[in-house]
Amino acid sequence: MISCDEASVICSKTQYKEAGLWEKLRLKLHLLFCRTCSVFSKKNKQLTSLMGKANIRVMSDSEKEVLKQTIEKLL
Amino acid sequence: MAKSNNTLQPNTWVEAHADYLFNYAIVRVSDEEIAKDLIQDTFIAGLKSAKNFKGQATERTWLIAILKRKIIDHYRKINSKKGKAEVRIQYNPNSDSDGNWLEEQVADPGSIVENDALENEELGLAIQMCIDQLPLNQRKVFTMKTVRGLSTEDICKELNINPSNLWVMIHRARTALMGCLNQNWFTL
Repeated sequence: MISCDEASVICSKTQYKEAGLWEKLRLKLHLLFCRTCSVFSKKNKQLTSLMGKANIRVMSDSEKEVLKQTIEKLL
Repeated sequence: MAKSNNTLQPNTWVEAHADYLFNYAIVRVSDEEIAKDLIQDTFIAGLKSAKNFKGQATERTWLIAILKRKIIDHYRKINSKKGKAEVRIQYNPNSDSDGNWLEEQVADPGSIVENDALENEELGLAIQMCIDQLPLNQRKVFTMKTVRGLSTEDICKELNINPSNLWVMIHRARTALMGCLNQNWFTL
């Protein structure tokens, strides 16, 4: 049996489909017994779906660097 | 978010506000390049009028107010270009007949498509606001992984961390985000 700490980290890992087979198995087993982690797992999935819907975009690091320099020059 | 009590700190503007302002602009001009230019204009205008900042609003609210002006200016500019001022009277631009009643074309208020688009725009900004409140290293890793979709290997190499560090950071970020969205958006 794994701890809740370990289970919840694996749970976050599964949101990116990067948990290994053994990890997934141990997580499933833990979720069967642990109510708290089941709730957490459900919320974690919802966060993934919200992130998918929201379509957030960011500027690249180099573009941010240029912006920073522009500001510094004017300071 | 600005931690200080309503003073301007231009050297942290990019880290603290650029992502939020970028997402704010992009839904209004639907073009990444234009949005980037608008952010730059906003920061420059902010620096120039920094002495007018009275500290009544937060730094972010103040920057958004400037960005709004810049967006309006942008639309004024593209509308005043020659040749675009041509007025054509046609009730329905999608059909040649000019007798269609406007009432027939008004958007259906119950339409799921439009409402969804609006909700998702607000959702994006709500999430970005929560991301901005994360500790810097968690924010960085979470954004690289979730928003930019980089591979675990690449992130580890760039930040010089090992995969188990990465997953713990991602996990902490996600937990904090769930809490933040719970307060600011709706019951998650």
